[in-house]
Parts: sequence; structure tokens; C-alpha cells
Amino acid sequence: MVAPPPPSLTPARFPCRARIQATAFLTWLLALLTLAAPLTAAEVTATLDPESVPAGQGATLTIRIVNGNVTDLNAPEVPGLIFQGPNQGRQVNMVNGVTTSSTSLTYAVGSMTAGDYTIPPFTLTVDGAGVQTQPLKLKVTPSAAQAPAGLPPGTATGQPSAAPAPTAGEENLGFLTVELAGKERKHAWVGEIAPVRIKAWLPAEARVSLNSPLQPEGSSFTLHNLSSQPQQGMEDHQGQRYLVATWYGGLSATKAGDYPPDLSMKISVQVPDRSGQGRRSNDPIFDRFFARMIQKEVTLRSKTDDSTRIEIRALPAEGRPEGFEGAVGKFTFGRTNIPAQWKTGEPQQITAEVQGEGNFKLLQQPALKSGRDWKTYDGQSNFTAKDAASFSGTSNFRFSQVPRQSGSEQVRLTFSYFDPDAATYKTAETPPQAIEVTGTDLPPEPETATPAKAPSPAPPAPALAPQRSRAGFATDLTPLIWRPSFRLFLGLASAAMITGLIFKTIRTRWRDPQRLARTAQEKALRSALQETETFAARGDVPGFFAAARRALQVRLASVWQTTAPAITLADATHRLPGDSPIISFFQEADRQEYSRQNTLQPNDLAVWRTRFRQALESVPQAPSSPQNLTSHQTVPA
Amino acid sequence: MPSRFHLVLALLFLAMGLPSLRAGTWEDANTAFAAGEYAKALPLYQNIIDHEGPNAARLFNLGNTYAKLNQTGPALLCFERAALLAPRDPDIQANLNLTRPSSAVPGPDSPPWWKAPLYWLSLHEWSWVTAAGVILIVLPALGWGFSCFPRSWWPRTAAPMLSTGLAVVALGSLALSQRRSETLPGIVIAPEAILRLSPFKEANAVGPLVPGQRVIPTETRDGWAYLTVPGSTLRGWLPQSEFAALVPRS
Repeated sequence: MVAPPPPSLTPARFPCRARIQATAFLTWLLALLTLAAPLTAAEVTATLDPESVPAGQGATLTIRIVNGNVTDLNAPEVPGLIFQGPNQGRQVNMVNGVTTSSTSLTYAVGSMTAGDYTIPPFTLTVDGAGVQTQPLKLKVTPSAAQAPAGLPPGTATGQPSAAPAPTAGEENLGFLTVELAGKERKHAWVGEIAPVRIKAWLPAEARVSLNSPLQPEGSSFTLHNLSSQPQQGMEDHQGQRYLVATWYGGLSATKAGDYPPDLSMKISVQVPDRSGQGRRSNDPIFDRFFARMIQKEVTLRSKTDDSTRIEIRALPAEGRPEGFEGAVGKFTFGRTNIPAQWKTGEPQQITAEVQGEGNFKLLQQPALKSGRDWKTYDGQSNFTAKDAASFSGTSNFRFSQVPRQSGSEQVRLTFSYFDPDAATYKTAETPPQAIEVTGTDLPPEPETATPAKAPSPAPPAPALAPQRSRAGFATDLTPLIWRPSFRLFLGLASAAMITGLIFKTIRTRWRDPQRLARTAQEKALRSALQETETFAARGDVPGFFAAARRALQVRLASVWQTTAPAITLADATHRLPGDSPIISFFQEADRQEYSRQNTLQPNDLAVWRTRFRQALESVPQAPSSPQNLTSHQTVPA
Repeated sequence: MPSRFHLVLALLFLAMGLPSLRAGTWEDANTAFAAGEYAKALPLYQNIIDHEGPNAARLFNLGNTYAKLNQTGPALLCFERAALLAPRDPDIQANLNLTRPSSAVPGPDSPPWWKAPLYWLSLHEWSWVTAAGVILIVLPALGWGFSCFPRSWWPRTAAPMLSTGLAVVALGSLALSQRRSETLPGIVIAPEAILRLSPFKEANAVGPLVPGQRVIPTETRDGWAYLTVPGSTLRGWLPQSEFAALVPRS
């Protein structure tokens, strides 16, 4: 006999297996999470460098996204702050087999007005998810000459450190030049988008592929609207032949100073190997075609010597119009539309077209110049570029105004801008236009309450008519005519009316004397025909002739509009042709009735039944004769 | 039998007395209003309307309460609804006119003189008038059809009844058809309503609307309504929560 196992062993097996399974599951889960973590966790940071700049100069705001792809970026709008950018750069690092990629979005941020600014969070969409950066603070000091705190020595004027000069080896493989295009002046203004021509000088015999777009190296400039396809050509520079690719775009700066246009671009260059390896002959032409090509990854940089520097001038403080928001260029009004008729309190839309060239992004919404009280709402604007680089074009503004005072006056639209060629501020105005505002003047709008201010007391309530003391019976706001029950009532009433009319019509037709006479005649005819058939079947000759004559009398009575018994042989002879079968049938019927001599044999009755049918069919039809009703009756044959 | 009769009578009186039992809330609301406690009176009036249904007096008192609380949009909505039910009530018209200019809300245009009689009665009243006209037509038609009237009644009673009924139905139908668009508008109730180009919050603004302003909704989509503003070229999208229909659609 085998002893049973200890009871404690059996239950202990399952917790052990469960623990192993749980441990394995947790291990796999941990491994999956460890693997997935770098794939999913995107890190977004925003930095501002420096955090204090003089008015007219800019700081670099960098948004760095690690392990994520940015699909959408919304920059906040801060009154008084100028954002230029973004410039995008991407970097991929591989350390100990772990690959990380980071994307940097760089803005130049500055202001023309001193003060403490808070830059709200930027909203980004990273890998489909919405992400916000932390808010940043920028201090703008009053004077441009003052050295902002935190800047390293030597950068008191806001000049960035010069970009590293290309090495001799790299310079042989190409370089970049930047020059102001189409302008005689050699300077630009803060906020101005200056058209520039950018050239990439590459070895004439090189095969080049572009690995990155042109991008600024430092924070001095921002590139705008660069042409997508460069023009290619061959040019000589300092006695050397180059393959030249030319782009056109706009360059703007938020800082005054004298800066080199520090642009860069990554390229792959394939050049013939001059090292001697693979050389097949002493013929340079032969070698040019058949030499081994070597590929190099090169970063082209713009020349940074003094001759290439671009002077950026600060906008003058004198003569700066009120409401100027930094638009630099040349602008004029195009078509405008100000409604001529207004009513107080009722908003209407004003449209204005502004044409010209310059930085349309900083162009303010035109203001309505009027001597009366108006309420203005922010509108919208659409820019239509006239050239590929978007230097010139038309901006269409639409915004709403609400008049608060009635009366007639002359109004005009106005906005201010800085003319870079004339180096002065200008104000564009439309010709005066007469408008008329009707309606009751509105009370002046209360000033926007500041947080420190106590809330303004509520305006006095109007003297309203007194409250009702009786609640009354409830009703429905929906008018009765639209309620289904009321429509049902109307439908029933209409049905009742129609029913009454139908009854009346039926009753009138039912009591028609002509119809009643026709019905009686029809009934008599049917009866006579039925008797005729009965007598014929019995072989009762006198009965047959009497019934047949009665049937003919009924039929003739309906035609002659008389009573049936009144029709005699004399009438028939008088009214019908002499050869009518009716006359001969009447004669025989009279003979049978009055002679009391039955000379006919039963076989002759069949002949007379045929004659009776012919006589019946020869009766002329009356317009409303019951012929149709009786034509289907069986005539004894 | 007498006991059953008394039971029915008692039930009838009980049914008639129910509103008076609940009228305590009405009294409470009026008392709160009289004491200047408008914020307290407001939910009481609203509760009465929600549970027992509206009428001109209830809407009028609710509108007054909103007006006292400086909520112009809802106040004008109540007054407009009250005026729809009782167009000849001078108090309602007075309060409407008193509230309208304070927020520069244009009222509906006055009808031309030849149409003015059509506006003497409310749409409810015109409906009843039309119904009476229909009955005046139906009765002679039924009597004629079923021979209920003696023939001698026709010229003296039935014919005038029929012609009067036809005239009344024609007039009622004209009034109702002329004023069929009267219940279409909505009233802006939000203090700051902005018409937008597209039905979402971030869309560009087309223009502002004033509380109490009349708007005509023509299309709805995802909680937004496309509106036209009578007497103006403004049109755009507004959240449906920022205006209320003059006659709520059931």
C-alpha cells in the first residue's frame, strides 16, 4: 500500500509555476517597455539665449525635439515681440549602438520696445501628439548700446561670434557667397526682409548632390522664401572656373550690427582623384574623363571676411508713428471699401487692399481715422505674393467696426511703415470718404478693467414694467397652426366637409326622376323578357306573344318617351317603316290575342322567337335608353 | 349615484386646485423679485416655465429678472417670446423697447400699413380664428349633405355662415402665411458672440454679434449653426449654445 503524498506538496506546485510565469511575464513586459521607451518618449525643450537683449536686437530661441518628428508648429503671438523663423536643423547621434535624433527649430526673437516679455508656450505636434514648451521670459533693455547681461565679453554690441572659417581643404571644394540683390545700398534695416542672392561655388569638374538646405549658422539672420530650384551656370572667380548654383531669397535680422551672412549647406562632392592612384596616363584630358572619382561630404560655408558683411541698422526712434508694428518696405493702399451707411451698434465689414513690397507679416491692420467713437475688432488678412520670393504682393485686410455715435463725417483708413530707401517712417492714407451713421448714440464703453482695479458697479437697471402677479395658464410657444393636433383637427374638418358634399351629390343623383324612370323601364323589360322565355319554354303561344309584345312596348316606350301600355299597333304603324319586324310582330301578337285561334304549331314558335329577337334589335336607340343595360339579356331564340 | 357624482366633482376640483398648490413657487419667485433678490428669483421662474410651460406672464417676469441682472440677451429672448404670445400687451412692448436700445439691438421692421391688421393678433389667435372659419364652412356643408337643415334655413343661415367662414379662413390663412417666418429667428444670448468663417473656434472672425440680436439659422453642423443677420450682410457660424431659437423646435 502506497502511502498518500503529503497533502502540503500538491498545492505548493501551482504557486511555484505561477510565480515563474509571472516573473517571465514581467520580464517580457519590462523588456518591451525598455525597448519601446526610446521609440515613444519624445523630449521637447525650449531655451532662450540670451535672456536679456537691448531693444532692436534679438535673442535666439531654440526648440529642441529629441526622438520625435515635428509635423506642426504654432508660434504664439506676443504684442510687441518680433519672431523670425523658424530655421530647422536635424542631428542624428549614435552612441554605443543607441541612436538618437534631434530636431532644432530656431527663432530670432526681439523687440523694438523695452520691457519684460513672457513668451507663451509654443504648441507642437510631435509624432501626432500635441506638445507644449515651457513659457520663457525675455528682458528687452532700453538702449542698444547697453551690454545685455549674460553675454560673453566681446559681444556687447550683439554681434555673434564669427562662424568658423572653412578650412583650406574644404574651401577647395566650394564656398558660399551672399550679396544683397537689386539694391544699391549695402545695408538693411531691422525687420526688413532684404532680397539676397546666394551662390554656391563648386569645382567645375565636380559632381554635386545637396544633402541639406541652405540654413543660417548663427542667430543673426533668418532666411525667408528661398527659391526651391537653384539656377546653374559656370562662372570664373579669381581666375578659377566654378560650377555656380544661385538661389534667391530674403534675409532679415532682428539685431542691429554688422554681421557676416553666416550660411551653410551640406553637400556630397565627387571629384577626380588627384592623388596618383588609378592614374592611367600623363594626359590630363584623358585623366579627366577616366580618373577614379572620390566622394567627400562637405559643409559649404559662406565667406566671413569683412567684404561680405552686411550692415543691419536699427530703426530710428525719432518720428516713429503711434501704432507702428515694424513693417519695413514700401506699401500703398489698393482698393478699399468702407460702407457709406452705418447704424450705431451694428457691425459692418471694412476691406482694404495693401500693395507693395516688404515685410508684410509685420504690417498692421489699417485703422479707421475718424473723429467719433468706434469699436474695432481684429480681422483677418490674406497675402498674395507677386513673386517667387514673396517680397512683393498684396495683402487683403477684412475687419469689422461698430459705430457708437451717429452723424455724418469724413473718414479714411491709415497705416504706418518704415521706408528703407528713404530711411523714414511713412503713413499711408486713403482719400477721405463720407459716411453717415444713423441710430441712437451708445453710451461710452467702460475702460477695460485692470486686475488692480475694483470692478465697476453695475449700471442702473432700467425702469421696467412691473411683474405680473398671476401666473396664468400655460401654453406652448409653437403656434397652434403648426401643432399636429391642430392640423389633425383641420384635416378632420375638411374630411367632414368633403363627406357632406359627397353625400349631397349621391343623394341628388339617387332621387333623379329620369334615373328612376329608366330603372323602372329596365325592370319591366327584364320581367317581360323573362316571361317570354318562360312561355316559349312551355310552348304557350298566346302567353309568349303577350309577353314579347309587352317587352317591345317597354323598349319602344323608353324611346318614344311614353308609357308602355299606350303603344299599340296603330302607333307602331304610324311611327315605324312598313317593313319593320316590329309591325309584323305586333300584327301577329294582336291576331294571337284577339282571334282566339291558335294556328301556330310549336315548331313555328321558334321562327317567331327569331322574329321577336329581330324586332327587339330593330328598336331605335334613345340617347339614355336602357338598351345598354338590356342588350346582354338573353333573348329567346 | 349622488356619491359617485360627488367623487367626480371632488376630483375635478382637486385637478383645478393643483396649479394653485404649485403656484406657491410663483409667489416665491415674485416675492424674491420684489425683495431685489433677482439671482434667487431667476431659477424659480425658470423652474416654473420648465415644468408647467410658458405663457406671456411667466416669460415677462423671467425677462424682467434677466434685465435686472443685466443679462440683455436672455432678457430680450424672454420678451420676444412673450410678445409672440401676447402682441398687444403694452407692458411687454414697453420692456422690449426699454431693453433694446440699451444694447443697440434693432427690433424687427414695422409692417406696412396694409399689413398692420395682420399683426394685431398672435399666431395662436390667428390659428383659432382660422379654425372658427373652418367650422363655419364645415357646419353648412354637413347640414347640406345630410339634409339636417330645413331648406328654408339655407338663404337665411347657412349661406351667410358659409360666406363668413370662407372670408375668415381666407383672412386667417393670409395672416399665417404672411407671418410664417416670424418663428424662424434665433436670439443671441451670449454676452460676446463672434460670427466665424467656419464652424470651429479657431476660425477667423467675421464679425461680432450683440446680445439680443436677431439671427436666422439656416444650417447646423456639430454644435454650430450658420446664421444670417437680418438687415445686414453679416453671415457666418456661431456655436448653437450662444443663441436660442425664438420658438424652440421640439
